[in-house]
Amino acid sequence: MSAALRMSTWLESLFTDVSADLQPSWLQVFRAQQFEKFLHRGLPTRKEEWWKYTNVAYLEKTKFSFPVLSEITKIPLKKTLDSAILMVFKNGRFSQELSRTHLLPPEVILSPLNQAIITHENLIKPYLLKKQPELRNSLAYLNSAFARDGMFLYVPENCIVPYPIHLLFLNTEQDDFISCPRNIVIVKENAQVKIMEEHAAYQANNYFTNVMTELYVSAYACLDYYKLQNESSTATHVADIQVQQKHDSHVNTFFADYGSRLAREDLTVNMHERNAACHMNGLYLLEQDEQQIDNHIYVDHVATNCNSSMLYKGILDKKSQAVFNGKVFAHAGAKQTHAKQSNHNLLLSPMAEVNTKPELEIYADDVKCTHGATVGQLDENALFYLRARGIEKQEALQILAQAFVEEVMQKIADPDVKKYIQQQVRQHANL
Amino acid sequence: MTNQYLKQIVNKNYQYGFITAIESETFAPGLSEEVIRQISKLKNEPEFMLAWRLKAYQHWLTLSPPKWAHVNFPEIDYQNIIYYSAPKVKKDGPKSLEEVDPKLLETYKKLGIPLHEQGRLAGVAVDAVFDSVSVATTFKTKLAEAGVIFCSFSEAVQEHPELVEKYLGSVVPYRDNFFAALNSAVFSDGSFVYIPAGVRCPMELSTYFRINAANTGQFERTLIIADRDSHVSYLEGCTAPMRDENQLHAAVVELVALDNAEIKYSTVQNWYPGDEEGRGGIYNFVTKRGACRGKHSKISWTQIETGSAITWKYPSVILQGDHSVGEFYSVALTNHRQQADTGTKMIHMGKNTRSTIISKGISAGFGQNTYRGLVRVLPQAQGARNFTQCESLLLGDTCGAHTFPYIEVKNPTAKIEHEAYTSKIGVDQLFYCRQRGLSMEDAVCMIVNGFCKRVFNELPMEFAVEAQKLLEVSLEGSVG
Amino acid sequence: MLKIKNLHASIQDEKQKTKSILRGIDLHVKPGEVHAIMGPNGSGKSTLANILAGREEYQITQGEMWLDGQNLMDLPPEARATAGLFLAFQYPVEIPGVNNMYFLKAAVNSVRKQRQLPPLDAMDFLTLIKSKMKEVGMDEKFLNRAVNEGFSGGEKKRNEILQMLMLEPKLAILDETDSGLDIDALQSVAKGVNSLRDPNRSIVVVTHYQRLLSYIVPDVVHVMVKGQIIKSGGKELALELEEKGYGWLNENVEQV
Repeated sequence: MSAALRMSTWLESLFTDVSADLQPSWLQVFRAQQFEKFLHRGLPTRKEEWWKYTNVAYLEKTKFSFPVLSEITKIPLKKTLDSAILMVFKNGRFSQELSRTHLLPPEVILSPLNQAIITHENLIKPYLLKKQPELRNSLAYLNSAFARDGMFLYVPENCIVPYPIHLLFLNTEQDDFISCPRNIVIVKENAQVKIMEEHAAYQANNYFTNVMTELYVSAYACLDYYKLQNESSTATHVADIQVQQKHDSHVNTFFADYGSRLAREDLTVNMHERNAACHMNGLYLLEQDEQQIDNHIYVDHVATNCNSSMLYKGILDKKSQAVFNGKVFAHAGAKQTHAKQSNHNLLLSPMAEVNTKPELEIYADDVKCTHGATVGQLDENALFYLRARGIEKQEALQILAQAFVEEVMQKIADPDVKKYIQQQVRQHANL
Repeated sequence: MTNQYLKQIVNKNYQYGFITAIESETFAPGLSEEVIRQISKLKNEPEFMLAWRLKAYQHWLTLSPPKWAHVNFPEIDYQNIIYYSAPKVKKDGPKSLEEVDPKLLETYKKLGIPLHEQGRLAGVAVDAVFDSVSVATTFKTKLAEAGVIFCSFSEAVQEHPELVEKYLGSVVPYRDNFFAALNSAVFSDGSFVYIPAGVRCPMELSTYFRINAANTGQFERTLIIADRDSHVSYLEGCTAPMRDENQLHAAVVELVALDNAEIKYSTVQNWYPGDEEGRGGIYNFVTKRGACRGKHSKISWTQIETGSAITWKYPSVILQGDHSVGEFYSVALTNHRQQADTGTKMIHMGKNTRSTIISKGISAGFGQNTYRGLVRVLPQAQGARNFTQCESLLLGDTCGAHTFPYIEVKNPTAKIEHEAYTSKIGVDQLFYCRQRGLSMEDAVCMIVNGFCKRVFNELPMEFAVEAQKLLEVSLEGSVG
Repeated sequence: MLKIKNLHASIQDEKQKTKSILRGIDLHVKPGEVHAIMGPNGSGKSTLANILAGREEYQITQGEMWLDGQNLMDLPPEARATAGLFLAFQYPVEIPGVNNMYFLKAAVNSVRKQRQLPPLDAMDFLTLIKSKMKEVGMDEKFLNRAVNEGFSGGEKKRNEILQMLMLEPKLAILDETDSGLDIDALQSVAKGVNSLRDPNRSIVVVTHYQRLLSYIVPDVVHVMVKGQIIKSGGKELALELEEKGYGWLNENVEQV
């Protein structure tokens, strides 16, 4: 019996809940279809090449429920991004009182998804119902079926949003729940916006975030997307991020992962029109036994003269495990494709494990594609050099680890976001 | 435009595509326990061999063909393959080269592999395998003086059963994979090498594989054992006639290197690749693996893969001994409709083990070329080192070049470096060569040869030039 | 020797926009003459050199090019080379794995074949190349290196001149051969070029600075600005340019 079937009883009852939501009928139909698809596919298994190193079978052991509304009235974090437009979701539901949006340019639509589905139905519908190939991650279907809230952002043509939009998903004061936020971002021609999606926890355990974010970037538009995953150490975080780029658009992504017992980030970038560029960067810091991070990236080069780069760096301590799988696919006709991939790992413990697989699948001849991966320890000579100059071993280790992550930190263009992430990085891995 | 000039380069035909008319003893197509018993009986094998074959066969029946490789071909009907075909011999078999059927000698001469002990290959001992059997081995006396055993597998089973029983299947067990299981059940011949302790093999050893009979599968098995402090360099070459049907070649090669021993294994694979439209050609599904059992042992694979319709092979090294070294140097060229999924596995188990992987892929025409490699460092492999470099060259816009490297590290003292790039042949380099008066064809060949230089350098001298020429021939008519 | 008539050429940039680079070049170089083409960066002088050698990225929209009575227009680069046109590249490309001597031997024999001469055998070739290497001040160790791989700027330029001496072209075009050279290298490069001066051979020197022209004294100096030759004169024109720079000529362009 497949895991999905074993889970199906309580899943069915959750789905009954979702179906009772106030919603347009097409959405109800769509959700039912997506739910069927998930039941058909089931949980991903390690037999699938795309899930070779990551086992999520344990998820079936918990009978997850939907969270009840949180009563929390203050953000229980040391800091939020000061200068930002802030949208807070408590246990997956939008919180008006914790959010602040007064800096938002008036022509921009920023709304919780469950409201937007009513107020901007015609705008959202084609994006949700678009035809798409079979998804590699079956949990994305579960997200489509169960998504009850999230962010809807529409940045009209030529509009520049001057401040980053900080999207904060707070999981608080509850255990064993499932949260499936769905974010839809539409950036129209020549517009610019920066988004920071953060997942954080406060007194919550063994919950399951299954988030999906869709980013539609029109011609000449620029999008910076930062994703910070700082969930509780007993949580599971599965994210599916889909990027659609039109010609001459520019996207930068940055993934910072330090939380969760298991985090899976699936990033898919479609470059179906010419002259698009996407630069993907990531940092993962694992400091607990049995902690696992799995970054899967798929870049689809279809059109000519597109540019992609990946730089992911990770530091692993204790009995933790990191997986990196970057795949660049250049179709016939994707002439003048430039694609770069690199993944570098630092192992601090004899029990840590890295599985990295930077792949190229190339069917076009006029391309320049490179990839590189390294796994290793800190440079003993450098360590010795620092200690010979009187620096304590622990501090020397920190200095070198910091130098290791610095290269990727430099990729964060926004100074406030950079500072914010730097602070978080320092809290983790004692950097 | 450059591409149009490239397209004009004319095609040379596969020059080894002739058929030898020779009377053969051939089984009816099909595979069953009976066929295996027959093969074993024909070879007068001891009981342990038959038992092993039958176990392999029983296991094979439970398996289905692997689907994960990046290759496409219609399903193979394993009941439609002939599992044994051998040239008829009048007596018990040739005792010396003089007794070998002149037609066979002529065949090898035409292939450029003279079986008399002088001439071009005077420094190389050759074992010639024709369809399912070994027909001749040269320089046996000279090698015996040094204590080296170099003979056909069948002969080894008769003369050295204790060595065969000890090492057969010890590196590639019959359970390893679908094709290894099939080979274990039905293999008919191959080469056997044993280098005794402390001996440096006085000459290059070489096996030349030739498929001649139609509808016949070739399932040979090679076993090389280098005892402690010994050294051997071994080379295999392969060709087949041009036929419209696909033919299956499923070989197994096992290498064992004990303390301080070194095995250098080179392959120039030029099985018939099929025609321009992809009709015919050999399916080359081969399992090759070496075990560095002893400390400070070394196994080095070098392969030049220009032939076959489909190539599926991953010459690998299991680095068990502390300080052992594994190397893999590869040039794989796919032109027309050829497909290659090839690479290596380096399994680091011992302390301070080192591996190097240099892979050069060249894709032309509608060829698909895949590098698939695994570098695995187990928890006990303190101080393991790997350096991998994969480079792919694309000639034309209808071919593909793919790289699937798997890196699995469970020890923090490991140092693993992997780099790869894929690009088309440099426009600036081509222009530079042509400005100096070289034709487009010469310029392409020169640049591609330069690209492969690092790998060619690893080949024994006698074959480096051969390999370079082979590449040029295989490349012609490729580019568009 | 070289005749260029009303040559117009353009290139497509990354955004598929057509950019015109040569806008009506007329040039006539007689046998035995040395011409210098000078001009500011981006004037199109390197483009002209590359188009003459048969570079395929450029579209020739108008005009004619003749080498010693042979129409260059539809010839592939290697046919131009064997017909006697030699380009010393501004940035000689590296060709990994291809032995320098092997490369040059292939080139020499390809050119000899066209001239209906027998190929040089290994010994003759080696003797010849060693004497030429001495002439340009190149160490013999470079023979066994890969073409230009890991060469310094000066070594690459010397290698270009070595190739030129070996191939004995009818027309040699030197594209910014002086750039990045110290005075020693400049002198040996000039010495190599001067040794080729011959009543039956022409040389075109493309350069930004006058410096090289003190060593390779030109018969005619042309000034190229924005894809046109706006002024021609004797060797003293080069000195004038050195003194005044190119600024004063820009005004001239507007009038043209």
